[in-house]
Amino acid sequence: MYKGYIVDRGLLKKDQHFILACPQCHQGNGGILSKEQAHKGLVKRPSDNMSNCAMCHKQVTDKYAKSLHYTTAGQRNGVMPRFSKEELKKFDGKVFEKSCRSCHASCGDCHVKSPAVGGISTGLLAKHKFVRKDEGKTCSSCHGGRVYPEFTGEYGGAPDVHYQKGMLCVDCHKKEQLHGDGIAYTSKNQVKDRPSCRNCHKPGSEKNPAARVSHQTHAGKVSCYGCHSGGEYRNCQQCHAGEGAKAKPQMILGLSPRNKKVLTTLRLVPTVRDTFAKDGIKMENFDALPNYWDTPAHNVRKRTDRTRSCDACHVDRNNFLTKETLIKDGSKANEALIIVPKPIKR
Amino acid sequence: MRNQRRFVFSLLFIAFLQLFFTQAILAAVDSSSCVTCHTNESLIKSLYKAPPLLHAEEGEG
Ligand code: HEC
Ligand code: HEC
Ligand code: HEC
Ligand code: HEC
Ligand code: HEC
Ligand code: HEC
Ligand code: HEC
Ligand code: HEC
Repeated sequence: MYKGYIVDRGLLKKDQHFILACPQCHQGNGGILSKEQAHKGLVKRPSDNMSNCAMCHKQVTDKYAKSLHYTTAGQRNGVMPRFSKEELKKFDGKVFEKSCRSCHASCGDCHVKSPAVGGISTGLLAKHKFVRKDEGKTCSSCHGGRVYPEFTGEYGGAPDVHYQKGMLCVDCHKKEQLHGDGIAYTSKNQVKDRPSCRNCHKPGSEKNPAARVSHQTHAGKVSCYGCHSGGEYRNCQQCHAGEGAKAKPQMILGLSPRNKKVLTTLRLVPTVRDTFAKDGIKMENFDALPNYWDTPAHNVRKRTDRTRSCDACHVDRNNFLTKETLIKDGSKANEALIIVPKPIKR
Repeated sequence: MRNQRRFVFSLLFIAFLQLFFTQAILAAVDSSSCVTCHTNESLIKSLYKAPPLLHAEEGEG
C-alpha cells in the first residue's frame, strides 16, 4: 500500500531520529531528483546494518547481535542433530543463509515497518515513527503462521484467555527476551528471560479448590498446556524446503521429547525425511529426533474438555498420540512419546 | 552520579551531532526530494507500484 511509504512531516522536527537526514540511514541521493535517481543505491532496511542504530543505542545493538531473532540459531540447531558432519556443512552453505537467515528480524521489523509476508508489506507502522511496540503489525507478520492466529482465535478455535483480557505478546515477552541479554543462546528453551505460566500464576494461589487439587496431583506430570490448551492448533505436514507446507488443525497429546515424564501438547514440526532432498541432504541421522515437539500452544482457556473431565485423559485418551495415529514413515523416535495414563483409583 | 554523567554526556553528544547535521535537517525540510515526495500523499500514490504477489509459503511461525 502506498500509505505505508508516507512520512509524517511533523516528526522531522520533533523526533530525535531525524537529526539524521534520510540518506544517512538509507543511502540513495538527497538532492532534487527523479525517483529513480533518488533511489540509486537505496538501502531499504537500514537497520540490517546495526551501526545505523548503534551510534545512539549501543547497549541494545550489542545485545541484539547475539539474540535468536538476529542469529536465527534456533532453526539451525533444531535440525542439526539430524545431519551427519558433511551434511551440516552442506546445510550451512546451501540452506541456512538463503532459507533461515533470510527471515531474521531487523530492528526496524519490530519498531519501524511491518515485515513483508510473501513479498508484501504494509510498510511504515506509523508514518516513520520509531514505535516501542505494535504486535498486530510486527510479531503478527512473522509469527502469523501459527502463534498469532491461534492466540487471537483467527485460526478457528476460541481466542486465548490472555488475549480476551487485553494482553498482547509484549505483556509476556519482554524486551529483555527479545533484545536478548547478550548471551548467544542456541535454542529458545535456554533463554533466561522467557515467560513462564508459574511466574504469574503461583501454584497454591487458586481460588477454586478443584483447580488446586488438580494442579497438585499433576505437578511435574502434565504441563499447563496439557489441560489448558483450548483446542486444535496448526500442524504442518509434508514440508519441502522452498515448496511450502500443508497444514491442518489438530491437537496432539503425548510426552515432551525434552522431558519424557511430562504429558504436554505436541506439534508436528515441518521437517520430514525428504525435506532437504532437493539440496542433496538425506539426513543420515533423521531418526535421532522425533517429528513431534512440545509446543506452548497460545490458545489457553480456563475451561477445556480436559478440565471438565478426568476421563478425557485417564479413560478415553482423547487426542492422545497412538501407534495408529503416528505419521507414516516418521522418525523412529516418535513411539517413545506415546503415553497411556494409569486409571484413577476411586 | 553515574546516571547524571551519562545524561550530560548524551546531551553533549546530541549537541555534537546537531553541529554536523543541522544543515542536513534544513536541507531535509527545504530541498530534499526524499522529504518532498515521502510527505506528499498524492505524489506517493501516483508513483507507487504494487509489488508482484509471491507464492506465499505456508511456513511455520
Ligand atoms: C535513523 C535512521 C533512519 C532515518 C534517519 C530515516 N529512516 Fe527510513 N527507515 C529506517 C528504518 C530502520 C526503516 C525500516 C526498515 C528496516 O527494518 O531497517 C525505515 C523504513 C523506511 C521506509 C519504508 C521502506 C519499506 O520498504 O517499507 C520509508 C519509505 C522510509 N524509511 C523513508 C524515510 C525518509 C523519507 C526519511 C527521511 C525523512 C527516512 N526514512 C529517514 C531508518 C531511518
Ligand atoms: C541520533 C541518535 C539516534 C539514532 C541514530 C537512533 N536512535 Fe532511536 N532513539 C534516539 C533517542 C534520543 C530516543 C529517545 C527518544 C525519546 O525518548 O523521545 C530514541 C528512541 C528509540 C525508540 C523508542 C521510541 C519510544 O517511543 O520510546 C526506538 C524503538 C528506537 N529509538 C529505535 C531505533 C532504531 C531501530 C534505530 C536504528 C535504525 C535508531 N533508533 C537510531 C536516538 C537515536
Ligand atoms: C522478521 C520476523 C520476526 C518478527 C518481526 C518477530 N519475530 Fe519472533 N521469531 C522470528 C524467527 C525467525 C524466530 C526463530 C529464531 C531462531 O531461529 O531461534 C523467532 C523466535 C521467537 C521467539 C523464541 C525465541 C526467543 O527469542 O525466545 C519468541 C518468543 C518470539 N519470536 C516472539 C516474538 C514477538 C513477541 C515478536 C513481536 C514483538 C516477534 N517475535 C517478532 C521472526 C520474527
Ligand atoms: C523481536 C522484536 C524486537 C526487535 C527485533 C528489536 N526490538 Fe527493540 N524493543 C522490543 C520490545 C518488545 C521493546 C519494549 C517495548 C515496551 O515494553 O513498551 C523494545 C524497546 C526498545 C527501545 C526502547 C527503549 C528501551 O530500551 O526500553 C529501543 C530504543 C529499542 N527497542 C531499540 C532497538 C534496536 C536498536 C534494535 C535492533 C538492534 C531493536 N530494538 C530490535 C522489541 C524488539
Ligand atoms: C500469557 C503470556 C503470553 C502471551 C500473551 C504470549 N506468549 Fe508467547 N509464550 C509464552 C510462554 C509461557 C512460552 C513458552 C516459553 C518457554 O517455556 O519456552 C511462549 C513461547 C513463545 C514462542 C516460542 C515457542 C514457539 O511456539 O515457537 C513464540 C514464537 C511466541 N511465544 C510468540 C508469541 C507471540 C507472537 C505472541 C503474541 C501473539 C505471544 N507469544 C504471546 C507466553 C505468552
Ligand atoms: C505475564 C503474566 C502471565 C503469564 C506469563 C501467564 N498468565 Fe495467565 N493470566 C494472566 C492475567 C493477568 C490473567 C487475567 C486474570 C484475571 O483477569 O483475573 C490471566 C488469566 C489466565 C487464566 C484464566 C483465569 C481465570 O480465572 O479466568 C488461565 C487459565 C491462565 N491465565 C493460564 C495461564 C497459562 C497456562 C499460562 C502459561 C502458558 C499463563 N497463564 C501465563 C497473567 C499471565
Ligand atoms: C490436570 C489438569 C490441569 C493441569 C495440568 C493444570 N490445570 Fe489449571 N485448572 C485445571 C482445572 C480442572 C481448573 C478449574 C477449572 C474450572 O474452574 O472449571 C483449573 C484452573 C486454573 C486457573 C484458574 C484458577 C482459579 O482459581 O479459578 C488457572 C489460572 C490455572 N488453572 C492455571 C494453570 C497453570 C499455570 C498450570 C500449569 C502450572 C495449570 N493450570 C495446569 C486443571 C489443570
Ligand atoms: C490432560 C490429561 C489428564 C487429565 C485431564 C487428568 N489427568 Fe490425572 N494424570 C494424567 C497423567 C499423564 C498422569 C501421570 C501418568 C500416570 O499416572 O499414568 C496423571 C496422574 C494422575 C494421578 C496420580 C497417579 C499416580 O500414580 O501418582 C491421579 C490421582 C490423577 N491423575 C487423577 C486425576 C483426576 C482426579 C483428574 C480429574 C480431576 C485427572 N487426573 C485429570 C493426565 C491427566
